[in-house]
Amino acid sequence: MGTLIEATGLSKSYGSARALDDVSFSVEAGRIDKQIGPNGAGKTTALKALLGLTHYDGYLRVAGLDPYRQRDALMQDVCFIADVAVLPRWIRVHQVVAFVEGVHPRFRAERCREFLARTNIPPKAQVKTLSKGMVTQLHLAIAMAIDAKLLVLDEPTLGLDILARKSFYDALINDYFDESRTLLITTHQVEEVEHLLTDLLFINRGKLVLDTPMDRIGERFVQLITTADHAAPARALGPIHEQQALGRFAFIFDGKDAAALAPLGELRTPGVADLFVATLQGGQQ
Amino acid sequence: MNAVLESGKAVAGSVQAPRLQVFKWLVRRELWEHRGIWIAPAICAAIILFSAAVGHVSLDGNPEPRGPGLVVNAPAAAQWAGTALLGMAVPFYITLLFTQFFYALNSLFDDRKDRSVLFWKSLPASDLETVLSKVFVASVVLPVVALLFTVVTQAVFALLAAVRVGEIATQLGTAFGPNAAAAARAFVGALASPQLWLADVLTLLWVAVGFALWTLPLVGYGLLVSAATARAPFVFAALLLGGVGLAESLLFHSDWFVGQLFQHALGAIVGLSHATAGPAAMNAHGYVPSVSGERLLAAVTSPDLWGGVVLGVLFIGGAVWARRYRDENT
Repeated sequence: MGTLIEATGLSKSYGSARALDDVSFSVEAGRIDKQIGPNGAGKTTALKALLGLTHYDGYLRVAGLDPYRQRDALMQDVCFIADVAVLPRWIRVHQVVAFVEGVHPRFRAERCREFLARTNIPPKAQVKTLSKGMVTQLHLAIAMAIDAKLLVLDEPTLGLDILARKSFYDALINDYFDESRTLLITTHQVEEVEHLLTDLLFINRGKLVLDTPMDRIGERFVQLITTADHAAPARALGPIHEQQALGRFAFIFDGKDAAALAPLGELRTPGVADLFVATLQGGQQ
Repeated sequence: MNAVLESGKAVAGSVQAPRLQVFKWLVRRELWEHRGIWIAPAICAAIILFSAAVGHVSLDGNPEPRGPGLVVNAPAAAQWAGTALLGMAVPFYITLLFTQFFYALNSLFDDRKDRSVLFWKSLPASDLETVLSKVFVASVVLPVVALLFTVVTQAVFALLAAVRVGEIATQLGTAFGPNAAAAARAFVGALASPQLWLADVLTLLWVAVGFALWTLPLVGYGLLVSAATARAPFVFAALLLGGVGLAESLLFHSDWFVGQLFQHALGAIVGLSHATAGPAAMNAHGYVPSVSGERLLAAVTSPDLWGGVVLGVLFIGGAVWARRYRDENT
């Protein structure tokens, strides 16, 4: 019951390219997980595997079901948006809301219409007449009106301006999320959701490079900000990442004792974006 | 965590929409998307009724008066009326043949092309239900729509004929002699017979069922290509059919496949002509054109028909499989 997603040795190849290479992770219920990776890293492949849209090797269970073989049953419990910017071009706003209401037992049309009332989307408009941002808002309004155990969003805020992105995440957290739901979001826009997350998964080149709860990041990773004269001893301690800007050096250490680093400069918990770059570059070395 | 989960909202546990309701919405969605379902038969009806409303008799290019040879009696008039009504169905069914096949060819392809397939697949309607909703539209809704348009067109035609009978009879009389004028009046008189309309509607229902059965392999084939091809479903479907026909003619010097193709495409329309081929018969209520029972029976017991139905079901199964398991690389 507590574990919503369980993946062991998940692999998927497209020809000779390994889109997913022996990835293992699990997601507990009531979490906001985020898969972060650069374009082409395997995020979307991982999502497609989770949603039963693609064949894979390895063991995978979502809500206790095999997504590839039990996809129909899974879709009753899971809501996903693979691409927020895509809805059928011919359909009208009120039609798509009525349709989802008709086929989805967990969809609350009233709630969806409330979300839509806050936007400028005309209820009778055809999708093809809406701007890309409006299509995204419509799609998200539908998804957020579905009471699903697991909501999977692939690049949900791509193409939205900063205000729309912020209002989306506010609505997601305030109106949607509670302990009975799990959110899985893929993105490469790291900073704006950092404070919302409970867990972090980094994927690069088909491999899982980091899987950690957010509140453990401070225990495991430390960022040292220092000046040039302390750079050499810091480097000797084996940072996973080094960055130089405006005469200051920033090192990120993985699993090093803070006491040993403290004399060298200022210590802080690295931001997700810095950690992302650090682990990715680490993985490429 | 478990405690929190259990006290959470009614998210846990499986709820499902009634499957019939889901199916109804899937069909409704098809009708929203494919406006051509109504437009094609409406154009067909408009052309027929426009001709009936403004047409007139002229001897241009038809200088041989045929009036004197015409035998005008009640059975003959009933035969003409029945044939005229059912003849009006032919353009509707030829139109239907095209709308149906192109509907099947595009219905699973269009949403893959514009990538909205992922939206449809994100909803709790299975791929089997989705494909079956398209089979239902192609093989039930479309023939029923054709049937309704045909009957309405026939009825409006009969009204126009009643209104214009004096005018047309005079024109016919001038052109072909009094016998032709009498024939026109007898024809319009026969159109007023309720038995004629009963026989007409029953025949059309029979044709609609026959149409659905004969064309099922074509619908299945269209859906399979639609679900499986990477691009250009029509080109692919046409080349494959043409290729099989050509291969047969080169290898075996025969044309069985092409013959089957025509038989399935036109089987119902041929059945329509069979239906009107019998002589008008007297019954307790008057003269009605008889439906040739033997020929219709021969049509439903044809192994070609049922072999096609089996093939159609296999194709549909293939389309469901392709819809479900084809990895859409987006």
